[in-house]
Amino acid sequence: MVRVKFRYLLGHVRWQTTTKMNSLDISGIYHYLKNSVKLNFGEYAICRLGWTLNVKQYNPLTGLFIVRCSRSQMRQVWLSLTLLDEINSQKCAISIIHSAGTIRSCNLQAIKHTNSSLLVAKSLIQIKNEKEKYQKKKNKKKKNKKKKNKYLPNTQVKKNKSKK
Amino acid sequence: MSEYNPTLVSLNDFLNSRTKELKKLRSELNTRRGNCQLTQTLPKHLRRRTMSHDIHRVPYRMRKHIEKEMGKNPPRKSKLKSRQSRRKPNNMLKEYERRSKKHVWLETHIWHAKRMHMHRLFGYKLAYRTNEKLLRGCYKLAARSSVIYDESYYQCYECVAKQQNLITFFSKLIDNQSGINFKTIGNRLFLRGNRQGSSRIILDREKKVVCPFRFIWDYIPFDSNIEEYKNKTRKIWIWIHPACRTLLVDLINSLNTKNYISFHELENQPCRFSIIGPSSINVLQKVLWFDFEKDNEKEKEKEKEKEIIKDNAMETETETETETETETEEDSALKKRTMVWKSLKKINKPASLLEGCILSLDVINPKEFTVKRAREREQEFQFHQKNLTRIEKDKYEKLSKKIQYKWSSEFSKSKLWDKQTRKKLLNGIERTNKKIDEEASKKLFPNVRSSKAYPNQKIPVLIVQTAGSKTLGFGSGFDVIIPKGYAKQFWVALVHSGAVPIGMRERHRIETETGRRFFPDDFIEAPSFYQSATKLIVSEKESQKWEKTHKGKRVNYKKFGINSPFFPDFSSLLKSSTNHNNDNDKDTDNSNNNNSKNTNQIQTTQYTNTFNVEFVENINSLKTNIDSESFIPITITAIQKGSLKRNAHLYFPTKDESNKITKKLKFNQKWSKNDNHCLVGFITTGMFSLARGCGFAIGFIRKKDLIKNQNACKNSIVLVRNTNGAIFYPAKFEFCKN
Repeated sequence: MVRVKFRYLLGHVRWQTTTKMNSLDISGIYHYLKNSVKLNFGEYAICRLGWTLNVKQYNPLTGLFIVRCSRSQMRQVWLSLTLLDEINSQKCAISIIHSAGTIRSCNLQAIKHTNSSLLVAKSLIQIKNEKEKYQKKKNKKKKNKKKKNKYLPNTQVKKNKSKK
Repeated sequence: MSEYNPTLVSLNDFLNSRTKELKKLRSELNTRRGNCQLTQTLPKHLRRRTMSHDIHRVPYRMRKHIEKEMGKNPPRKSKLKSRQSRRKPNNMLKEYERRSKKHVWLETHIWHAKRMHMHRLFGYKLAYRTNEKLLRGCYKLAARSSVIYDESYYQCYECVAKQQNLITFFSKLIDNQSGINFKTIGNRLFLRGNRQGSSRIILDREKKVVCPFRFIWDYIPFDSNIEEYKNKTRKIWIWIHPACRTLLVDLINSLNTKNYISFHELENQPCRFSIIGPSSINVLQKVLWFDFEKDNEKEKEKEKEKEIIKDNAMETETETETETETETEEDSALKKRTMVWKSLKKINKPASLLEGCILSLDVINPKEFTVKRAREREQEFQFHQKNLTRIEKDKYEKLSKKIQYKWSSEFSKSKLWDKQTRKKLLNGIERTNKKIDEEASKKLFPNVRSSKAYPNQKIPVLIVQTAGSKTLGFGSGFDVIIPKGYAKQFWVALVHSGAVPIGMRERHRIETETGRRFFPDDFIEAPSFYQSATKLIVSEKESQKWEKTHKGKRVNYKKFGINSPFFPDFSSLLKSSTNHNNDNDKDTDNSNNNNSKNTNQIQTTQYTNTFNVEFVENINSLKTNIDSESFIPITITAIQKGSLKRNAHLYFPTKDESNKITKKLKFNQKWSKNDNHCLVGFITTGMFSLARGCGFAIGFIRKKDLIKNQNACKNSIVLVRNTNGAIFYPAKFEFCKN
């Protein structure tokens, strides 16, 4: 008996606004997916997909999800996902990162994706820190200018730590 | 797309969600698991076969994780030894004791299990049929040689009370119309304890449950007066089928409120084998051996002297009696029994003896000697060949004729009635078997008949004659009653001596050949009818086979108008109305729902139903109480060709048809939907009888229909329609007497 072969698509959802869509479930995505397939390719495509279409994972905080479909219908599902505009009356954009034959390889790619996004965040943080440092240094220079008049007579150049 | 890029990003949320996600993803990647157990995630070179139930075979680092999984489904804790030691016969018996609460093993179970198909019936595991094909061959064996059957699943109960009390107590319970051979417990034939009786008990008057049983009285000496024993305590032993056991016990306990009688199950119940056939005497004489030669040495010497002196003079029995010395009762009884045992050789068939006569013997353990095979016509040959004096031969010939019409009670005195002897015999089995094996290993020629080995150890055994058919004595034989613990040794010895072992199916066949009904397959008046072998084994197999076959290749019972094709449905007869045409309409209406499932539902809901059965001698003696619905048992023999099969339908013919049949004209009639014949009864067991050379069956007719069609029944003709087809077979019927 020949095996039924699937394809798993790793996707990323980006929302226009920053409101948290915690109400969205796996079943919600499945529902909108199916409608978009019907819109774009008709009922014949849905019947061909049948039971193989399934949303396996979805993280509402990050927006990553994995969708399963049969190998022959992968392109159609890919297209219908990219053409999805609205979910729950909120505008969004879906981009597919990776397609694979197993969930395991999709998870590997998800790790890479998050690492790359974390590197970006890391670089942003570094820039921020550098900025702060630079400003600190500036402030320090201003303060130290007062300290430089050593040679003035009868000036108490010694440190007045106790006062501070 | 760039429109949907968010303008603001909160770093905290961003980082927290991503780190969590990363952790989860990494943990999932590390564990390679789908739908598999933890033990299967190990690499192949670390997996072991016993990991599923033995934790010590699992690597140390995984034990904790696996214990949690095993906690849900813990493995069976088995303190078993190696498989080889577990499968030895001694250990098998011990294992049986654990399992024996539901289904009890007989003593000869292991021997039977190797050679026969075992089934669970009546709370026991019984042999249903042999591995060989013996259905037709068992007739030949039972008619010419001998056949043996293990009947020790019949339960034995003991009643102890005064003689009068016992008779009055059981006279209430016994069925008055138990056939023509009706004999109560108080009949003089049985009171002395020299003969076995059989009759029927009413276990429930409302539901009309009746069950047959056998009984034996205690021993009374021959000379004494029966009337002296009226107020003396006596014992009865009753044998009853295990299907009706609970009903009996409940009945007697309910009636025995004032402790009129002490009724209890026999401790250390004896086993019972039934040997059938003309050479059963021969078989028994090879196995049941006791040293009567030693006891009669003195007599032999005396008789030899007499022959020398008085060669031509005729001697009578009186002279020998006067010359005997004063002996104890036991010795005299022993002598008589030995005489009887020898004189049995002259008798060809066990049917020539009185019905139910009892002989008791004290016998050596058959394990001590090899048993030779018994030939069929050997007994007479041996009788003449042995070195018997002429006087002895005359004695035995006279005795053998006397026995056939007179049987004294001294032949039936035995030690089996004692509790203590039975206990001793049971307790001493292991020691005796050990001794016998040790001695046999020392001898040069082991297993030679030597009565000097264990003269003290003698096993009391009862032999009971069973009657067969009245015409030629087919089916007659002996029942051997053996104390508990010795069944296997006697069984093996009997089989080696030539008796062929059979199962319940063959026994059933032999009983129908004699013309008698077999309990519980032919007894409608007991609820064991629905626990019998035909219901549980045969009809279930047939129904399953029928369901599996394709619709176009199996019998269409709907078309033939048969509602219950696999088991007779007597309750439907009672429900049907008197109008015959309406009967046929009802059949056709019900035939729409003709599935075997529906029939099983009907039967399971009414499994406690029993049907009233009456016995009748002639049609003229029928009682005209039409209100009481009852069935009458009949035996059916086919006139023309055709074998009558189980669950066939019975009809009465019309006048024209009966005239045709009596004139021996060709009778070809087929069933059709608009048939006017009225359904009258069913057949419970049917076959082609080899004794008669034609089809033969046992069935039941409804009394109402007999009374109505009395004129048509003068010729006593009935039409039989098998479930296979639509052809009517003409047959004659007679009223059954058992």
